[in-house]
Amino acid sequence: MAYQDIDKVPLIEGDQTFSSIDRIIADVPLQQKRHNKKSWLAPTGVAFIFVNILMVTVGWLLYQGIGIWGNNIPTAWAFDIVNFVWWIGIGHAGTLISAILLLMRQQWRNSINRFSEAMTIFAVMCAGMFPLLHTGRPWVAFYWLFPFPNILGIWPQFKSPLMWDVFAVSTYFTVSLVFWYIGLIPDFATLRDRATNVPAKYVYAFLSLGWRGSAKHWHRYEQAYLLLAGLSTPLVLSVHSIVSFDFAVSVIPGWNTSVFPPYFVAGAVYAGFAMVILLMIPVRKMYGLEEIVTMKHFDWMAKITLATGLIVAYGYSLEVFYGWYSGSKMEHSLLVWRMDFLHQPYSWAYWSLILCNVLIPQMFWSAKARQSWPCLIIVCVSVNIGMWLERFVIIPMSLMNTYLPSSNRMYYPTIWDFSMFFGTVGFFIFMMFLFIRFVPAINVFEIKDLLHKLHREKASKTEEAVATTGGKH
Amino acid sequence: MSETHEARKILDLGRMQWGMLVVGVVLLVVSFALMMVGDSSRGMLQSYLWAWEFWGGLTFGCFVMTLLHHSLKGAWGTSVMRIWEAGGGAVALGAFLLLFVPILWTMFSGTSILYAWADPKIVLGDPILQHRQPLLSPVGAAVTTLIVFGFWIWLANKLRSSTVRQDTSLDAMEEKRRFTWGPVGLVFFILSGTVAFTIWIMSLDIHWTSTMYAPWFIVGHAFAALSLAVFIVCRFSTLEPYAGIMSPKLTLDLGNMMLTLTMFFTYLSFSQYLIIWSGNMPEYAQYYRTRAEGGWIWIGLSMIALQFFMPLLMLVNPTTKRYPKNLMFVAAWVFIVRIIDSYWIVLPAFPNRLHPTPLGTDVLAFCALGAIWFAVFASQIKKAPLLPVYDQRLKEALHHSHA
Repeated sequence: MAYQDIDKVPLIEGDQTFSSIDRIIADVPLQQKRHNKKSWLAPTGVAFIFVNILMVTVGWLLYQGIGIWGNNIPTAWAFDIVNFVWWIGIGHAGTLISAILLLMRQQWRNSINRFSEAMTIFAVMCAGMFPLLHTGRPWVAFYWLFPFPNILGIWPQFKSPLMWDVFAVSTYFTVSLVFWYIGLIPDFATLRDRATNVPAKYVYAFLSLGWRGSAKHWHRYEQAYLLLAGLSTPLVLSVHSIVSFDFAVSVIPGWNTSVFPPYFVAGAVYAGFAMVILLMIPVRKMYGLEEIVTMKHFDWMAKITLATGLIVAYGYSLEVFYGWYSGSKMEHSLLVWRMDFLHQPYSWAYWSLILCNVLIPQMFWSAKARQSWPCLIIVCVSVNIGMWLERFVIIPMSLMNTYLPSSNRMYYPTIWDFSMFFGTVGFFIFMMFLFIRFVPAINVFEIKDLLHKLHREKASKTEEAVATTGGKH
Repeated sequence: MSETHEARKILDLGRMQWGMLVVGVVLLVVSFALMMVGDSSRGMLQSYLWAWEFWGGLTFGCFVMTLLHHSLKGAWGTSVMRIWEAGGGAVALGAFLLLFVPILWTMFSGTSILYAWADPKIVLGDPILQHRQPLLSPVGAAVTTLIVFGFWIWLANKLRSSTVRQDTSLDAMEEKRRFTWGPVGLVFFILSGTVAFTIWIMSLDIHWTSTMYAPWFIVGHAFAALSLAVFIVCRFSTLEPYAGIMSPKLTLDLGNMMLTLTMFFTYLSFSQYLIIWSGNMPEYAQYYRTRAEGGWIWIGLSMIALQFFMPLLMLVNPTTKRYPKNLMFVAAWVFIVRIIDSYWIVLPAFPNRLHPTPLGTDVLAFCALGAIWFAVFASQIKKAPLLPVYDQRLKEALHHSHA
């Protein structure tokens, strides 16, 4: 692909009109036959196989208990919490794009916000499974976790970040879902009006909640959307900060690190943006969305990925520097445990994460790399692997190396650990493909609004030019 | 764009530069004299270190905001860029390198007046300080200081020359080059600053470490630099050249940036406190324990209201951000509170400072270094137009102001 000056690439390419926008975006869910091709069936089918693997794993887990995982003492938290943190992080890009970029009046978000919000919801669903199933018997766990005073006087420990996590993640999921749905209402109305299939018309009419597009509707809508954006913004910071507190407030070496909150938030946005890029590349190609999601969007997303990646890399350097500076024997032993690739069994995980999260993403300094599909894919895959490894290094690897060396014990994941993780990956992809099939993956009315603004800007520039030259060229 | 620059005339930068320089030098001479006198030496040096931390920190804050401006494409930063360039430029950085000499002198004198690690007798009985010797020794500190200042001065000079050159050459490529140097410089500033701030300030609390410290330190001083710049722009908003770009959108952007830093600084402060409090490990908790004794706790607690709730409540109100006069008040508030916060961070580290009562030496050192800072600032700001006239983003800012 030829290198373009990104400043000259428009946010919407081609000579678009409102009806062409409808055709490009809204017809994707309306023309169901378009999906009966290998491009949709193959990934959805493969993902569905993994959904089945997940169901078998969960079934076996509920029958047998969490002993089927490799967790032990002292490594009581392992793949389950690693996966939980990873999935919560993946969801963060959605909230950042939909809420923070909205408040910052960033127009480029319009083409990708719906897609990334859906990603947030499915990622949080995947994340929620792990702590819930880690309890072994979720139906019993509910009895003990539900925060209400009971006759035994047993209260949940409100000083524990695990308790805060329950509120943070459930609030995050609820607000994200409502935000996503509110944004969908005008588009569901568009689908209702364009649908020729009667059942589809009824379903979309039901989902659009009687939307007529009146000035009053729009006024209410704008207010609600802005309010939810304001609510979601602190959630971007708070959710992953609280997740980081799960570890940081303890005294375990490798966990009791004060920089964890911002470093976890940056890591979450990092992995999230990498996932948006990774999924958006094939989807825009499959459904001919190239003129709506342009190279400019990828360039911006790659820049944010690079910036957050640098913050994450700074976090790694702080851990190493202050690990040395503290002069603490435990901190030193932890550094050796993580980094000594000649003698320590899991040091490969640490060095792989440095390769994936620190070295490979430096490609994004180059504008050409940010416009190259192979580079974008390589970097984003590597970031997602790297961010998973980061959580592995922080969580089970720290637990394996305790204050009491006689308690140290190796952790080895079992096949059920892997099947559970890959099962959720399958679930996530399966849900994303269902979403693309039945819901407009790009916000139709926001793109129309953007198109209107772009036309107006163009017209005012032309007027200025005419005024300057006096109409002579 | 008018080149009359009324704001500059009213400030009378030439008089300000020389006036401040004379005051600064006189006070500095008195400070140095007091450093030599046995009884007042300890107090004077401690006060001097605090003043250096605040005014030097403001210089670093201006420098890091310049780097941030050259890394982002926001039009709002154009209005304040020249203020940051003057406050955090090569000359300002060079001046604070020179002003570091008395601190360096105490390190080499082998006493623990400022740094316990500078005293060989203390190091001999402390395995942790022995372990840190490559960094926390007079030679290690001097070499690190020279390297980081050398790099920062070089970079600040490069960026400043580029903006000034663009004012005359109109070459848009200059701006593109700065977009490359800005982020690279930012990365290296943060990395080198982390090591330097650890030596200069964190090591005052002898065994304490916190991975949050450097980001917290940088953001705190960037906040002071932003508030100073916002104060100046809003104070002279009715005069040229600022009158030409002043608009509700610009004040809204500047106010929102202040709001963001208010929340971000509090987020970092609270996270660090919560994690250390929860861990309750002696080597980490002693930092807050020291600052919760005597009268210090009242300063610490008042910071929650003064540095977070007050600016937050003022800045969430759109009316505050719509009028330059209101924003100027908030900026002045933040700047003053940053001085108190800096006092609370540095001075309780010294065992003889059990109470927060300001000493005469504190006032003396603060005024001396403050006067020098403003003298350097005035000398630099008059060398170039107050707004980078040919910066592409200034056209955007102008467009917003007239929209």
